[in-house]
This record gives sequence, C-alpha cells and structure tokens, in this order.
Amino acid sequence: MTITIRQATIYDLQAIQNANLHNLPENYMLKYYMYHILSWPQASYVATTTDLSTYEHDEEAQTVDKYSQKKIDESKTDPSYANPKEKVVGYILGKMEDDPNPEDKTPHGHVTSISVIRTYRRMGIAEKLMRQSLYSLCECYGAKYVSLHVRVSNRAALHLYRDTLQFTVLKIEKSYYADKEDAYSMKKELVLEELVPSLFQKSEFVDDFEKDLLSDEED
Amino acid sequence: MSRRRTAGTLFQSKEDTNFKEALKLYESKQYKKALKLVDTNLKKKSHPQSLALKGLLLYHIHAANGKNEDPDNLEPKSYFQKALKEDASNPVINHIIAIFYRALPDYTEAAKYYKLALDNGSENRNIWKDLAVSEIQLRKYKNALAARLQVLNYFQGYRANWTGLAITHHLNKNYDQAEKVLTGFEELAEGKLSDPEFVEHSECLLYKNKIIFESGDVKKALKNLKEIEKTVFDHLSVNEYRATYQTALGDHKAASITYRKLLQRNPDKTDYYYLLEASLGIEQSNITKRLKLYNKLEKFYPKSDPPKVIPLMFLKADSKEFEDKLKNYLISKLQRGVPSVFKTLKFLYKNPAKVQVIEKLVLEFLDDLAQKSKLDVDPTITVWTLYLLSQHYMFLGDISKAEEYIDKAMTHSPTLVELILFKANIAKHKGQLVEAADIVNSARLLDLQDRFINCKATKYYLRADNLEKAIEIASLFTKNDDAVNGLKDLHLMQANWYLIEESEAYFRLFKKAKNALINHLNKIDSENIEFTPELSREVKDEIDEVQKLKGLTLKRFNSVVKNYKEFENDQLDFHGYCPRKGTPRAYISMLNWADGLFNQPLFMRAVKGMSEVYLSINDDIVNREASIIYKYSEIIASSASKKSKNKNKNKTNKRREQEASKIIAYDHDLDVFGEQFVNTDEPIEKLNELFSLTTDKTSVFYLKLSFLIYIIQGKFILAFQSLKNAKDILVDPSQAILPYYLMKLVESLKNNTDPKLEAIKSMVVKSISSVFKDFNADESFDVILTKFFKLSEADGLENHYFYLKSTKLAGKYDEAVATKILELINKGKIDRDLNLDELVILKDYVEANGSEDCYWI
Ligand SMILES: CC(C)(COP(=O)(O)OP(=O)(O)OC[C@H]1O[C@@H](n2cnc3c(N)ncnc32)[C@H](O)[C@@H]1OP(=O)(O)O)[C@@H](O)C(=O)NCCC(=O)NCCS
Repeated sequence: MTITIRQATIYDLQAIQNANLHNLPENYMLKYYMYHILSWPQASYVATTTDLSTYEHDEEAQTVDKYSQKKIDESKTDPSYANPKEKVVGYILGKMEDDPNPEDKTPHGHVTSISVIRTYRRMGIAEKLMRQSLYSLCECYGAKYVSLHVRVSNRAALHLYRDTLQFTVLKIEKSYYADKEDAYSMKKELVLEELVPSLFQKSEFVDDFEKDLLSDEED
Repeated sequence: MSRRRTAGTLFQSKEDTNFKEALKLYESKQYKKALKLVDTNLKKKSHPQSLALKGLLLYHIHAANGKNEDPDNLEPKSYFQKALKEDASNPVINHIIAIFYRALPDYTEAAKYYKLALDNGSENRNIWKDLAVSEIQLRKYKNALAARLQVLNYFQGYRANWTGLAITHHLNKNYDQAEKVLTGFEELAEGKLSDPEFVEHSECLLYKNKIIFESGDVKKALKNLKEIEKTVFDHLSVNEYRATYQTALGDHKAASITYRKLLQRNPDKTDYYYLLEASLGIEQSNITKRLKLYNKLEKFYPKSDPPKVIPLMFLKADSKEFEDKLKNYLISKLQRGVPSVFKTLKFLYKNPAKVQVIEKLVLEFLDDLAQKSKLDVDPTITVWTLYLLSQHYMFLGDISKAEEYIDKAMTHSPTLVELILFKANIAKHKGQLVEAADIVNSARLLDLQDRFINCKATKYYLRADNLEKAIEIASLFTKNDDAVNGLKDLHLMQANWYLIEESEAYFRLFKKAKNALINHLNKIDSENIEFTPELSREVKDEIDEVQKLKGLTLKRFNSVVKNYKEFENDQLDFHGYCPRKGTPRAYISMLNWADGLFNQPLFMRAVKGMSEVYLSINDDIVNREASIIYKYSEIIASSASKKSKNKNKNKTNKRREQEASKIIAYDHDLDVFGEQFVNTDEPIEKLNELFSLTTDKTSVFYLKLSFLIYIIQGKFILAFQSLKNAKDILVDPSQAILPYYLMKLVESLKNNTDPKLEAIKSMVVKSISSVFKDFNADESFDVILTKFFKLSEADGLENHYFYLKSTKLAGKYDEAVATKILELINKGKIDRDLNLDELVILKDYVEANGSEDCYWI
C-alpha cells in the first residue's frame, strides 16, 4: 500500500464526507461537497492508501488461504473506500470566495475543511494536501491569498498552518464556532513560483527532465 | 362615479387578479397567504388554474409538517385531477402540475407536463430549460437535446446555453456537433472576454479538447492542446492529457518527459510512477532497471511514499536490496512513531518469504534497542516497535503472542490511545465484543477532544449491540439542539457509517428476540404451561418487542436507502448550474457517478439487510397457520377484554412516546418505529421496488436475490435464467451454492400444483439438465447430494452452509457439518466479506437445527 495524494473527484465525495464525520464536528450534507467539486474542480484533494496489486502482481506471492486473503483485502463495504482499491485517509476541501458582495474583491480562496484519519496523522499528509490545494487555487483561479479559521485549542492544526505553512494570524474571532469556542482567522499570501509542491521535498537533486533516468552516472 | 378602468384590468376577472397575486406569493414561498387567495377564488365559482395551484400549495404546506411522507396523502393530486377535468389543455395548469412533480420528485411526470404546457401553447420559454433538466435527470438525452436546441434558439446571448447544448450533444455521443457548438461560441467571444470570464473559458477549452480526444482523433487533440495551452490555467490537466495522447500515439519518449514533469508537481501520486515506467519501456520483470529508476526517483523525492514502497513489491524476498530497503523504511517510520506502518506493509503478507524478513528485521531492531543504554533510546521507539510486532503476530493468527507484545507495549505507555485500540481489536477477534467496546471507551476517555476515537467507541458499542451507549457517546459531537440525542443530526448529516451499523445491530437484536420468543412459546406449548393473564401479558410484550425491532431494522436500513435517493436527487440543480458556472468536465463526471450510485457496495449492504427481513415477513405470511407466534397472538387477542386492552394501550402509548424521543430519525417523522414497513401484505413487492434501483444486474448478489424472489412469485423460467447467469460469473464453480439453489428450484417446481404451469415446469426441468450437465431433476435429492457436493477440509463457511441446507432439503440434516460450522465461527475462521449479521444468520440456522429458513443472500 502506498499513500497517494491526488486531486479529488466526485467519486471521492462520499468517502470525504465519511472522513469528515469521523474527524470534525462541523459536518455538511453531500450536496455541499458536490457544490465544491462542481464549482472549483481543481481546489480539493484527497490522500488515499492505494493497493499496489492494481498495478502489478508479486510473483512470489502465494495464494494464501481464504482467511488471510480476506484480512489483506479488507472490507469493501466500508464507506471510507472511494473505490475497491483506494481508501480515503485524508482530504482538503478548498474553494474560492463566492459571496456576491465580498468584503474584499481581490480573488482569494478558503479552506472549508481539512482532516486526516487519526491512524495516518503526523506523516506530513495534511501539509501535502494543503500544498497541492494552495498551488491549484493560485494557478487555476488566480487566488492572491487564502484564508481559514481554526479553533484556538487545536494545537495540531495551528502548528500546521502557522509553523509549517507560514500562515499569519489576522485576528481572533470570538465565539466563531457553534459551541462558542473562539477561532483564529488566518491568511497566507500566494505566489505561484514559491508554491511548487516539490520544492518542499528539500532535495539537493532536482529532475531536469533531460538526463537519462536509467544511466549509471551519478548526478 | 367609479374611476375609469384601464383596458388591462377591464377584461381581467377578480379571480385572475387573485390568481396572479397568489402566484407571486408562491414564488416568495408565502404558501399560506397564497392559499387564502386561492380559496377565495374557489368559494364561488370554479377557477381551474386556482385548483391546480391549490394542489401545489398544499404540497408545500404539507412538506413543512412531514405529511408528504405519508404515501396515502393524495390530497394535492386530487386538485390536479379536478383542474385537468375542467381544462386539460390549459398550459398554466400543465406547468403548475409539472412543477409539483419536479418537487416530488417524479421526473417522468414532470417532463410529461412541461411538454404538455409547451404543446398547449405556453409562451413561457423558460419551460424549455426545465424540460431539458428533467430529461437529463431521466437520462433521456435525445429529448434533452431537442429542448436545449430551443433554449439556445431563444437565448443566444448566454455562454451557458452554448455550453449546455454542447454537453447535450456530447451525451448523445455526437462529438462533432459538440465541438462545433463550443467553437461557435469561441468565435463569437473572440476578443470580448473580460477578466473574470477567463476561468470559465479555460475550462470550456479543456472540455472541447477532451471531446476531440473521445471522438478518436488523438492527433487533432494533441495539436489542439498545444494551441490552447497558453490560454488555459489548469496545467495539471494539460499535462495529464498530453501524456495520455502521447502514449496513445506511440510517442513514449515524449510521454516519459511529461510524466517526469507531472511527478515534479505531485510526487505523491502512485499512478505517475507506473506510467513513467511504462513510457520508459521497462518490463515489470526487469528488476535491475526498475531498481535503478526508483533509486533515482527516491533521491528527487525523498519525502514521498511511492518510490520507497513500490520496490518492496517488486524486489525478491531473498535479495539484499529488499532487506535494505525494508529496513530503511521500517526504521524511519518507527523512529517517527508512525502508527500506520503495519497497515502500509500489509500487502507484503501475501508473500510468506517477505513476512519472514519483516519478522526478523523487527525482532533484531528490538534487540538492538534493548542493548543500547536507556539514555540513547527514545522510549517511544520501543513502544511502536512492540506495537508493530503485536499487529504482525495478530495477522499470522498467533493471538497469544499478539497479546504478549501489546501488553509489553502498554506497560511502557499505558495511556497511548493507539495501543489501547489494538488491545480492543484483539478482544474483538476473540469474540469478546462487550469487553472490546469497554476497552475502546477507556481510550476515548483519554482524549475527549478527538472525534475519531469517539466514533471508534460508538462503532464498537454498536457491534456489541449496545445501542443506548453508542448513541450517548456519538451525541457528544453532534448538533443536538432540542433533541435528547444526536440521532436526528446523524440522519441529517447523512452519516451512513452510523446508520448502517445501527441497522445491523437492530437486525441482530431482532433475530435474538425472535428466537427467544419462539423458544419461550415452544416451551409453553410442549410443557402445557398454564397461560395465565400475567404470562399472556409477558408474551404480548415479547411479541411487541420483536415487532418493534423488526420495524426499526427496516426503518434504519431505509435511512441509508433514503440518503442514496437524496444523493441521486442532489444532481438536479447542477444540470443548470454547471453550464452557467462553466465546469462541464466535472459535470460529466457527476452524471457517470450518479449512474453507478445504486450499485455501490454500501447501498447493496442495506438492500441485503432489508431483503433478509422482507423475506422473513413473507415466510411469516405464507406459513401463518403453522406459526407458533401467530397462534399465541391470536390467543392473546381473543382473550383480552376490551377494558384491559384500553388500559394497556394507554400504558404502552406512554412508554412508546418516551422511547420515540430517543429513536426519532427526522423532524416530523410520522413513522418513528417503522411500522409502515412491517405491516405490509406485500413484502416481495416492496423488496422488488428497492431492488429495481440497482442497474448492475450481473453481480452474484443480484442473481441470488432475484432467484429467490422469482421462485416465490412462481416465475420459474426467470428463476432458472438467474441461475444460468450466476453459473457464468461464479469464480469457483465447485461451490455448493449453485447445486443448492438448483435443488431449491426443483423443490419449488414439485410443490407447485398449478396445472396451467405444467408445460413451463417441464420445460424448466429439461433446461436444467441441458445447462447444468448431469443434474437430473428427476433423481432423488439423495443421489444429487452425493453427486454434486464434495466438502473439503479447506472449505469456508459458505460452502459448509449451503451443503448443510442441501442436506436439509434432502431430509438428512447433517449434524457433523453443523458442528463444523459452529467451530469455524468460534475460531474466527471467516472467509469472504462476512459481517456480524451474516454470522448471526448462520448461527441461527445451525442452532435452530435448520428449522427456520435463513436466507443469507
Ligand atoms: C490537523 C490535522 C489535519 C493535521 O494532519 P497531519 O497529517 O497529522 O499533519 P502533518 O503530519 O502534515 O503535520 C504538519 C505539521 O504539524 C505538526 N503537528 C501535527 N500534529 C500535531 C500535534 N498533535 N501537535 C503538535 N504539532 C502537530 C507536525 O509535526 C508538522 O510539523 P512540522 O512541519 O514542523 O514537522 C489532523 O491532526 C486532523 O485531522 N485533526 C482533526 C481535524 C482537524 O482538527 N482539522 C483541522 C480543522 S481547522
């Protein structure tokens, strides 16, 4: 199983809704997710675990007995599966400002929701989801900045936005959430060249698209 | 003197003015006010338009109090009938009726009345738009095209109408026309687009490109892509399309460069790696080359998963490279304390040699940790290593070792949620569902902020059939407003995971209660126990409880069905919205997604559950005379005096009211307990209705269920056909399921005494022998049994079960097989995707010595 990050499609929405219901108290009906994906098809991403037997067959693999086979294949009627080979373990739901009379007329994006299933947290998944989404918002919709809200008690999310992704805190909004908790309102300016996701691999080797990938010479 | 009247109002009656005013009120959703005006109109003389509007208004007023859920509420429709009787060709009336059906929703009828309104001369051109939407929702693309052509004809100035028409051509697979329409608008708009319109423009250009590709002209599509590249924003799509086209045209070198670019943008997409390999012409068996490639890619993208994991798949278990790569992967994950490391390696467990390498490496690593001085080792690393070992042994079926390691880990870190969760998982596998739930709950209490662990606890309690505790916990994160718990919110938010689990819990409780009741009654019957009023009351309560649980099972399963219907209906607004917003590509995906909704595994899971109950209701109806529950229900009903009946009723009502507040699913729910589902004389019709939603008629599940329905209905040819089709798709033809079903078919043929069916029956018998070689319907079941069934040691539950049922049919119920089944269940040796319910069904059957029919579809 590999962890894949890819653009979300309508086929992922039910699994995204399911992940959201498992991770956050702010939930939405499927139609709201549809509204996102059908208005800004490039703005949302998912993280999935991908079954490699879709791509190739391990020749040494034995046809294990039926009992173990079931354990490997897991249950497909579980609503966290987007398709029989992919389980959604995280998502980001992004959008552009859609208020007909926005406070600020500069094109800008919002993060409606982001979460990662507990078992897959602290592996950098949320960071990668954010980076892909921010890049697309900027590239496809010309977003100049992106803004979001986060509970003041949410240490993990705060670290992700402020420290990892360098958002700035604009202000504290009192009683923003249904249960009256305050929210940080945060924002990040977007500059396309600085957002290329692979930059954050921090590798000294960069593919120049020219060198033969199968040659023996060292880079 | 009266004022002079203007010509406009001169010929307009008071009624018409009122009607117009009422329409306006309707549009601003002031239904009650509108109704008053309409009623004034209808007081004196007839005004057919007002009659129709009254129907529509009543529908909306009923919607606010849940009355529309009542299938017997025919009031709105009766007004339409009256209106049509007086003036059937009135376009306004037709239009109002169309609007009603669209809201209902019944798109076939809606389309019919929109068309009638237009045929009867309505000048409202917007009706063409609504007609198109209904036709698309119905997937009648030809009709939709006719409507969309008219729309563009009337409203040329909007891009949406051009895009909408192009989409409709595309759906009719008329690629040329679709392309032409899109080009037509591009030419009109040349040089006139304003800044905000460029996003839409970009999407439409890509849409056209995709259509060119789908038409089969790949060269043209590639050329077009180059032309539009500068104007298009979505470079991810541009490059993905390009790579596909280059590959299709055989230009693999160029495709490989494109994939490298795509990887640089997103090195976490597994697809790209395999596509890159293919475009480089590397054979999957060429391990040396692949290794070289992935070593490079890993250097470019050290933070991504695929270049590290894919080699673990293709490297040989005994190679040094495999061991090295696995070691690096494992140790880096363990050091970072990634709890999911076992899950990501699970795919290797199909290869026993690799499993051994994993075990060796992890044990060595643990040893190393133990050697090092305490100061050098981060203690959490030891904990995660122990955790991994526990999962490893659990997978291999060594429960005691699994427990040993998890306990060791927990002595290090007693409050680590992940460890406790796994401890619970082990308990669950040992069949200790109640203990498992309590363990998860103890983890939940350690992290009350986290909804994920809250959901886990909820699910474990549902599995343990403790519904009360489950909803109590779940409600800590739902929006409860004035409700006593979060059940309504879980319904509103379409929490299918919860609903399906709760339905299945209800089903198990229903089964349990029913079995207990039957046992109780059998005891009373066989031991001649005196049926005192107290005992009578007790039994009555038990009967009521069974009925209630049956109703709630169907009700909850139906909540899932309802959500799926809602998803399907959610498309509606987007037929108009997407062409306006300019997102045709995403829109086409939506249509395809919706086409497959009712084939989704989760929907099937709900249908499966409901079919078990509906089939058992049917059995109860057919076998009423022989049923002991029926016998005692009659006794109780005839013996209770009127007075005590009333008294009891009052008491029960009060109790039920209290109970209702805890299990109510929707605002204005008129059928909290699902009685509407249970009190049916036509369970098979209901089941059929549900079942007809699926469009994939080729799954084994579909064929099994349709077979059962057909034999109940006496449709033997169709029943035979289902088995014939099942034969072609069953992966393992040696399974006991087919011969069992054949025996069942033969039995039904024999039991059927309808002389009119003689010819059909003998035809079916002949067909059986010709399709299923050697199966001779005239032979005794005994002979058939020895000829067709061969159980082997390795056979799973399913085969054992169908064999057992066949022995029952042959009148030789095989106790040894029954014991074997219970043994397999208790050892947790469960093949296929069995869930708890299926186990209950199986166990029931075995424990009742095959006396009750359990379907297990
Ligand atoms: C917030 C959340 C999405 C983070 O997901 P994730 O995949 O674990 O995050 P990442 O692994 O990408 O971590 C990003 C950074 O945050 C840090 N971080 C993650 N979880 C943390 C925690 N619990 N405490 C402190 N820091 C944490 C990581 O160390 C990493 O920092 P680094 O860049 O300095 O190394 C996840 O915890 C979650 O789904 N929580 C529940 C839902 C939620 O709160 N969503 C946010 C609503 S605004």
